[in-house]
Amino acid sequence: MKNNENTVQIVKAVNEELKQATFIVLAPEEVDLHGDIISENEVRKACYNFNKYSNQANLFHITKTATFEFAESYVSPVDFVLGDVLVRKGTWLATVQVLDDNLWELVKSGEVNGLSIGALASIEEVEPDDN
Amino acid sequence: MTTKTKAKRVLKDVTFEHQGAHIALVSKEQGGPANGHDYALVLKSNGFSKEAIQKMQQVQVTLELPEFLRRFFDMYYTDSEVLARLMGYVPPESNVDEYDSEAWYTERLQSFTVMKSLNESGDLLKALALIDENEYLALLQDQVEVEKAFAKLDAEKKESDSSASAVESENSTNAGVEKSVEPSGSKVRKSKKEIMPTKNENTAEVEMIEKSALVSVQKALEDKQAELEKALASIAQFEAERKEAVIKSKTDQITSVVKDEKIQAAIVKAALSLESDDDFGAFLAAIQAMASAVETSQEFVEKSALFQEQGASTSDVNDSQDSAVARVLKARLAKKV
Repeated sequence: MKNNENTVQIVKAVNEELKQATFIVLAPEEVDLHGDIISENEVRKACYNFNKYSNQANLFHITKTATFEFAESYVSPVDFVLGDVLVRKGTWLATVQVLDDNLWELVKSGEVNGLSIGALASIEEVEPDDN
Repeated sequence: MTTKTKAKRVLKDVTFEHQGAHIALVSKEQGGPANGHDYALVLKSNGFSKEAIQKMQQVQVTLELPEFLRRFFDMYYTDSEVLARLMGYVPPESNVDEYDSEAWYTERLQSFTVMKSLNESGDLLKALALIDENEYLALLQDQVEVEKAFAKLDAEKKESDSSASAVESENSTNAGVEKSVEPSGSKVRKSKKEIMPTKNENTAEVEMIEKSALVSVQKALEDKQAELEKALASIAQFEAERKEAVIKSKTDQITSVVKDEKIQAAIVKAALSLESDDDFGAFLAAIQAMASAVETSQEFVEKSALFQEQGASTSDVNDSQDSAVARVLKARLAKKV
């Protein structure tokens, strides 16, 4: 016999789907795809600065958007495992609240797959010998 | 996620204070995020895909009829199964039980189907002729069950009605009811073939049988009651006679001991007020002892000198009590004379 209780739960789940996704914004001491690296302290400062002055959501670095907003943005105080990923201490994490069904479908399918900062920063060139 | 790629630049003082600063959601097509973490750590959608949700919603839509009857009408498993099948429900192959339950459902349904078709057919005799032996047997079996249930219900109703008036003779009444119901049950069985012709006749027959059963039960009950009343009257009479005999015997025993008529009545009354025979025996013994003691004391009194009058003779007194002076005086007087 099929379990009717499951059915009830599922209906609720559909109604209460949070449409939230958590991504890594910046990870300290990791070289990114552009060859940039950032210290833990600079990550913490960047996170604080974003929370205080911006909180602005953007889509594809093209346009401001109301299709999602930032639910929370924080720096991990310790190493921990989220999902099946080890998140290092000092990593900047952000949870987005998706407000658009089409965007949510893209997030769930993995088409939209991460967060990227659009900010100003001071850059120090790294001497090749240093690393 | 660390990478062994050598860093070219060190970022410092990241600021979002200027116009247009943002964090963007980026897509796979763009090459994903520059930080290399091109995955969501958590998707708070309870992990159900659209397909999964759709499938599970279909479960709700395709809730099976027996399940529905059980859940919303509190029916028993077998009843819901039978009713559902009667309504046209066909169980999926996976739900078919391994053992004989399927055969049992089929049999139950078969008899209902036959009953239904007989009821709906214009010519019952013709319809009856068309059913095979097994169908007829199933029909009869179901009919027996239904009639038994009716008879039982009726008997219970009668029993509850008559229980108030027959509390004292409960056991005998129950026996009477059982005995009188059973014959009516056998009567019902005998009349099955007659029941078949028409529906109205069938109903009338059942009602007549039920009424006759009721009459016989009531009659049996009245007879038992009359017998019981007679028995109770004879018992009461016997009790009264026995009590009278006991009183007479006790009175005789007391009067044989206590002869004095003045106190006889009081002692008899006191003796009869004693309920147990032992008390009466002890009382009687005490009375006897007292009576014998009284007799003995009377005899003693009669014989004792202390209680006898003893008078003195004057002549003897004079003789014996004359003093010497008196005797001298008497002698002188005699001489003078």
